[in-house]
Amino acid sequence: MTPARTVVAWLPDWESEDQAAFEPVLEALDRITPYIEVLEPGRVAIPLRPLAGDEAVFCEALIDTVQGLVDQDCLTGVADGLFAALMAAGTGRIVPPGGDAAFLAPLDIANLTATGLVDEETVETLRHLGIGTLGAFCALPGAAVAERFGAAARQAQQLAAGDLARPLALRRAEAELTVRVDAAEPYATVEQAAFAARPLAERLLATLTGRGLACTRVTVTAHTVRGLARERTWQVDPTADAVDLARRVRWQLDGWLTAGGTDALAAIELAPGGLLNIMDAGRGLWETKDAATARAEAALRHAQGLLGPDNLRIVLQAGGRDLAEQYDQIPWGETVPPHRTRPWPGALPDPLPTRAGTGEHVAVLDAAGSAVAVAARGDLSAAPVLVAVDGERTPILAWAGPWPVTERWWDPERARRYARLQVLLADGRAALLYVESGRWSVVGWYD
Amino acid sequence: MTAAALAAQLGLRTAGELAPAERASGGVVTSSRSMVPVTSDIARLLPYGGLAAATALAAARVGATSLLWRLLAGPTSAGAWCAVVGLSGMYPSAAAAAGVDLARLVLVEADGPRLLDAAAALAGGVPVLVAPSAAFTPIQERRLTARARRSGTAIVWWQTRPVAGADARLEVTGAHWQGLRANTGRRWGAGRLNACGLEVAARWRGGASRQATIWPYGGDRPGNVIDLRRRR
Repeated sequence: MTPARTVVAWLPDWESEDQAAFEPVLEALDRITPYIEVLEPGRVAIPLRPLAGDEAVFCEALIDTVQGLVDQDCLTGVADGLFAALMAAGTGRIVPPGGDAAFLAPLDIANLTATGLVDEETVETLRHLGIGTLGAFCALPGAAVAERFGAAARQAQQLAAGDLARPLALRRAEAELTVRVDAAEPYATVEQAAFAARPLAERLLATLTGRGLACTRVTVTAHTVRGLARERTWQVDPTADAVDLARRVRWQLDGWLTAGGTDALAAIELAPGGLLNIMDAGRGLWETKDAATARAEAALRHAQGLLGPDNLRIVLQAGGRDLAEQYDQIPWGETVPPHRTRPWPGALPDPLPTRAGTGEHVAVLDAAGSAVAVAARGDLSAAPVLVAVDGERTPILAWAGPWPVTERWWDPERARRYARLQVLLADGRAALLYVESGRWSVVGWYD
Repeated sequence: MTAAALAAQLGLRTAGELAPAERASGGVVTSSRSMVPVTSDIARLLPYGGLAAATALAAARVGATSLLWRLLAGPTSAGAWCAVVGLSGMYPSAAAAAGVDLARLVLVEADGPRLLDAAAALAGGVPVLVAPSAAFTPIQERRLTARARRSGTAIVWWQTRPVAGADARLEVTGAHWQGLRANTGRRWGAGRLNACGLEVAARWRGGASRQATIWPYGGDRPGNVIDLRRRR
């Protein structure tokens, strides 16, 4: 995957420090892209997605727009990282992908202050030490820099080496794009709520279209009569019409109202997210989506329309020790929550069982034909030799374990103590067995 | 004057009008036929080196699920959506170990007539569709295959009842689980299950056949292991 690129646009003649005075420029830039981070009045950064088109052409369009709409000169710099792009904007250059470090190396050490991490004094000290360029600064051992000048200088060194990337903090959707309907009579049934959702979806699309925008996410918020709010964010096709959008909202409300636990609704709110220029939305400039993917997603949406939202699911890896805790399922099309990727000591290692066991109890027997138990010390009472599933006895060819697991011992309601055993049976199947409170069961088959 | 009108007057172009860059050419080779890319170990078992219109996978064999996940590893990691319809009782997290990109795998839960409708809708667009043959009558099954052929969807039959007209039939003829030891007479068993070798036989529509051993979870092939105890 090509890494994302960063464009920095700099208006060299901009003098006002006032954020409000800069608004017209942002409005002009909104015509090109909704994704902008204002670094300071007169300097903005724009992320450029991979495959977003010719960078030089994009910069030209940017310069022309600023020149044409607010009559200001504009210099642009393109690079992989924000710092390099900032430096490149000073001279209006495009740094080729992967060329950040090479571009930064010959620059004067004084540019280091632009990171905001290093003060003038430190720069002077470095100069006295004979370090005159960013390249020479980067060549210093990192540990020595951290020791002599502190962590901030070390961070600046990484920036100057083009190593450290800071994601851009983009502007949020404005509150005025959010549409809301307050119920005259609280909506108690799905039909009432869905009836209100349709014109709401139309209003949202009209608001966006009026500003030349389209959205890739919609956050549905329902306010109940008791003052509670539930919200959920869905990915939507930016080219979807009001009917599609209203159906999406209806499913969500349906889920909340029929699942119970939600009072009658007093208000429904739709907030757009992931804003796109309406022209990009159709062509997939920012979301690089080819025709085949668009067709596949249309088919999935169709199936979801037939079966309901919860019957098409995506699997997420989650943290947990037990098999069932190692994954979550969310409806397809819902925004993926931030990933929990912590190592879980005691989780089953790969490969995992592919098929779930029926959970029924089995007997694990030793050579003498008596049941095998796990002793308190964590070993077996005897080597297991046979497994009896449904009365059918199968010899064990190989085995490993037991591995005892103690979960949530601090919570008497949810505490669990069990031990795992892997067995390879004579009929070629392999199984994961649990023993809990003295009873064995097949938790999963390796298939 | 609105910004749009002004832009038009000045002849400005917006980002939407930029020419899209050429797609970076990755490692995935695409042929002229509508073919879904698969991993290289699976490619040797398939007639055109990729998933074509209809593939049947014998479900009853031990190791069939691992083979299915390995089959979907190539398409999902190439960014193609794969829909798995009506297969229950699985731990989908195991698919990740076989190389499946879970973000591109959609599990569809349906039964009876709704399963048929959903499969028909999906066959109109998703690149790979996995469906259980037991849920279809022979006529329904032929209809779905025809629909998949028209739209370029590769259909994988999870074959619990024989299906007609598959381009390739895959069957696991032997599954070898690695890592467990006999541990005779011990009260604590050393080792752990760490790999699996699947002997897969493929029969193609034209009559040709292929054999290969697939290692869905990677791992140690026999002969790669140096037994330290023996070196004493």
